[in-house]
Amino acid sequence: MYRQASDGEKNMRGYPRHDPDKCIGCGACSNVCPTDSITVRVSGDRIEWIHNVARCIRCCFCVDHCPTGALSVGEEYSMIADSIDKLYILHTIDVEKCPKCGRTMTYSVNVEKHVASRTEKASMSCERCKIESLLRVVEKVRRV
Amino acid sequence: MVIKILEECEVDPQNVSKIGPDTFLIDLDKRQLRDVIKCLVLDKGLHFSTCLGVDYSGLRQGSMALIYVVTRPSSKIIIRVTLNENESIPYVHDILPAAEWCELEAMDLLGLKTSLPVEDRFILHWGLPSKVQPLRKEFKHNTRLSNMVSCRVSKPEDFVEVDPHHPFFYEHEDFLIKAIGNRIVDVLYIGSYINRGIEKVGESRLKMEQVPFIAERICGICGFTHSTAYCQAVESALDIDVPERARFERTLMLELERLESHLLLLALIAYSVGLRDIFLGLLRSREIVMNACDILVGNRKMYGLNVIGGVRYGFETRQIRDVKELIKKLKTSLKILDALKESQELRKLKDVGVLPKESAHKLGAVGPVARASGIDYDVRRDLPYAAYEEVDFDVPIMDQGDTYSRIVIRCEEVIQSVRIIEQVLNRDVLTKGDLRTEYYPAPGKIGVGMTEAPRGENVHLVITGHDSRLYRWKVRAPTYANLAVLRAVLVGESPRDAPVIIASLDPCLSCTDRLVMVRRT
Repeated sequence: MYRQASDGEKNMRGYPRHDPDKCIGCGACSNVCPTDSITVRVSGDRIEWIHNVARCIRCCFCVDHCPTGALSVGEEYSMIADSIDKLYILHTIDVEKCPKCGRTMTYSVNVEKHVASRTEKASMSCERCKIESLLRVVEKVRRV
Repeated sequence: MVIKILEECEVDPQNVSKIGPDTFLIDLDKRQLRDVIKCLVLDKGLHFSTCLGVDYSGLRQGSMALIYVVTRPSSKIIIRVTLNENESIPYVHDILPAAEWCELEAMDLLGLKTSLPVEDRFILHWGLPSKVQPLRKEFKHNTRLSNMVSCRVSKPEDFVEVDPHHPFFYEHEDFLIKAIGNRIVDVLYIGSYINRGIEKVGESRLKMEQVPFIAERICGICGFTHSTAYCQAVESALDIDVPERARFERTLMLELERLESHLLLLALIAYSVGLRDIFLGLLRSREIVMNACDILVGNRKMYGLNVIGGVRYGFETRQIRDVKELIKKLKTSLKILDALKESQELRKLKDVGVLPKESAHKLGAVGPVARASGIDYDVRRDLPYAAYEEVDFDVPIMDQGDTYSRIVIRCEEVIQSVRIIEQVLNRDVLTKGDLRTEYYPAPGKIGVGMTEAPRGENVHLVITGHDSRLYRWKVRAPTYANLAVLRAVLVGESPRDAPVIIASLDPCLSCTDRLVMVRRT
């Protein structure tokens, strides 16, 4: 569907290429996009990464801001398509479940690959679990 | 030096404050404005750049302001007149025609009142209800006009034109040429068909760091100069030092862009006077420049290089080597310019569409149009930016002011651009060093950024706001100033020469109308 850069055009800055295996669904790309062509949203237990190629201006500012290297400068640049739906690129990524209560969280499963230390792993729990554990600490302090 | 000139024009030194290394801000009283502008521009010969209206209600207590920008070699002077809400505004366009468009635009977009009898719409569509004042802060950028009062549908004494566009011009404009016999007696330009309010979008929806990419898309031919001017405006407002490497990269890309733009115009002029072989030759040499841009930044036209405080990526030795070879090739293929200059068809354009020096100054002409009329003003030399201080180049000046010299002066500028590019490519700093400086946004700062676009002086003025957003952003493209000379160059000429005379001004209408498409899905 999309035109690939030929050998003479290898430097071409096409629209960004997205790797769902590295994406953590943080939404930095959609925040910095000057034309709002990228949308990142949570629907159910999956994260949807949607790119509207027709609105993309190929500035690749999102590539500069991606924290995990999931975005890279692509070589495809033409957007000729026979229906408007083909202008949207949709990737879905599974959402991380809270290790304590099992509820869905707002970032993807890939975030574990980028977490290094034990303290960071321990802090990976959903908002409600965090509040509950905080309340327990407050309760303990009060009793003392 | 500037202080002395201002004292001679009876400006109280207490109102003058230095807000940058070369920028002065003057707070003037409303009654004083006319005399000061008259003294500065008409008596002292300073260059009038632009003016704009600002709704200051978001930064201070509810007030409006008019801002005039006047430049002289090595300094920019910003004159600010603060007004109350319903006060009638001062104007200078009866003594200085260069200010006419920007003053009418300020009245139109902000709904300012004046004692002059003017039409209520200048750049917006005349059918819009009068309470639509887009640049006021209470007007939201995503307001749907269909929800407001229904638009007026007809204007009484209007006439409908079925084919307004001349086949030579491909853009959205309308030149109404009135002729008696074989002589043009009057000309009227109707534009702003494609104004979509880029300034409002930049002020409301975008963050400061996103604007360079949108600014680059104002123009399809000279976009990089717009993003550079915007970045320079913010850099001067927030006092950011740009690293040397970034300044040289900007210089290189700006000059490649000038080559692209001039070669396209010269090719089109050759086509319009009937020199098809030179047309093809010039477009072929333009292709070499486009390939050089592709090698350097990965795109033929939209470079996406500028960010506030520097550039995004650096060039490698491999890229510089390839571009050097292309420039060598370009130099041989540019010999065709001599054939264009010497051609009989172009010599016929001598003494056609003459623009005298005095009217060029009064009408505020800039760039090659002004330099062909003997005005010695080039932003690259007089208000140096990027790395132009460190390279060696000449500014070609001609005195005749006719169509022929406007074309020949661009041929000379192409040669000078190649000279600058060769000097920049030989610098080592292009491949090593810092790319950008970190910066911290602060509200309420004013900055002016100026570049010499291929068509002339390009002015961006920014006032920074809260939340790292812009409070006000004004774009004054060079064609906006140059179209004011239309009547001066066309009246008295033959209608069959009109296309080539207009083309010699190199009008770029999407710059003038500040086009951009940002639509929510």
